[in-house]
Amino acid sequence: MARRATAIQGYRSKNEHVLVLDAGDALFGQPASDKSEGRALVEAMGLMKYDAMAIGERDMAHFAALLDRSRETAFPFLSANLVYTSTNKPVFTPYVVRDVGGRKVAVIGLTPSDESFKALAPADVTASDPVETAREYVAKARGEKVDAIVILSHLGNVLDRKIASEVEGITAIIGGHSFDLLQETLQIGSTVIGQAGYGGEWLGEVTVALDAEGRVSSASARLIPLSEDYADDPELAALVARYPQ
Amino acid sequence: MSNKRKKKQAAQRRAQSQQQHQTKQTAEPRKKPTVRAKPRWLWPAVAGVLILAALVVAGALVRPSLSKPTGPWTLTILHTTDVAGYIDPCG
Repeated sequence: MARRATAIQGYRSKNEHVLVLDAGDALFGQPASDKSEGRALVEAMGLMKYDAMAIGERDMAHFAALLDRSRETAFPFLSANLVYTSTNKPVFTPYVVRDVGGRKVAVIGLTPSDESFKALAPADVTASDPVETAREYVAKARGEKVDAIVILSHLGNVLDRKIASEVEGITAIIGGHSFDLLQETLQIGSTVIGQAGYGGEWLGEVTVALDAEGRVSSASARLIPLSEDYADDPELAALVARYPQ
Repeated sequence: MSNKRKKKQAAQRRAQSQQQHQTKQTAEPRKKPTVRAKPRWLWPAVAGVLILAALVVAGALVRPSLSKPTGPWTLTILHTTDVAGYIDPCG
C-alpha cells in the first residue's frame, strides 16, 4: 500500500484530470484489516485521496462495520443497486458527480446480485438487477448534463461487457470481482473497460480523450505492477506499522 | 447371298473391328484423368483461413487500442480492486 501511495502521488504530480477509484471488496479479508473493522484500509485510502469506492459482496459480510466506515470517510462508498428490502431505499450513495478540471464526471457504483452476494449480505438488503440499474442511473446522470460517466462495478468482466454493449453513453467501466488483469485497452462500442487484478498488487490506469460531444475519441489502458521500483511512502509506511499483520 | 455367307462376313467385320480397337488401345496410352485429386492439406487450410477471418471480425468488435489518447480533454482513472484487506506487503 505504501508503494501504491508513491505511485498515485507521482502520477498526480505529473498529470491533471485524475480520478482514483476502487472497485470493491477492499476493506476486509486479512487479520489486521478485519481486526480494525476496515479502518486500516479506509484510513489508507483516505491518505491516498481516493475519490470513491464501490461495494463488493465481501464488504457486505461486515455490514455493520461497513456502514460505520461509510459515515466516517471523506470519500463515498457507492452502490446504486443495493436497497433496503422493506423500503426500497438505497443503502449507500448511488452515484456522485465530481468536478475534474472544470468538467463534470459522474461515478456510479454497482454491486453483484448473484449467489455470492446472497450468501454474505444481511437479509434486509437486496441487490436489484445491475444492468437495469445501470441503465436507470446513466439516464439520471445524463440528465445532469455530465461530461463523462464512469461505472464503478464489482460485477465481474462478463457483466461489465454486457453493460457496455447494452447501455449507451458510458465513458468507462472500472471493474472488479472476476480478478481479471486487463493489460490492454478493452473497448466495446465507445466504452472502455479496465480491471486491475486483486490484492493491491497492481494499479490500473485508464485514460480517455473526449471529443466536443463528450464521446471517447481515443483511449488507453494498462496495469502498473507495484514492484520494488516504487519506494514506500513514509506516511503510509507509518500507517502500516500501526496495524501489524 | 446365302445366310451362311452373310454370317461369315459379319463375323469377319466383328473380328476386324475388335482388332482395330485393341490396336488403338495399345497404341494410345491411357489418358490421365483431367481433374486432379484434392491435396490432403486443402481442407485444414480452408478451415484455418475461416478461423482467422472469424478472429479478425471478433477483434474488430472487441478491439485492443494501443495509441495513447490525445485530445482537447483527457481523463485518467487510476484504479484498484479486490484488495481484500491487504495492507502489506502487496503494493
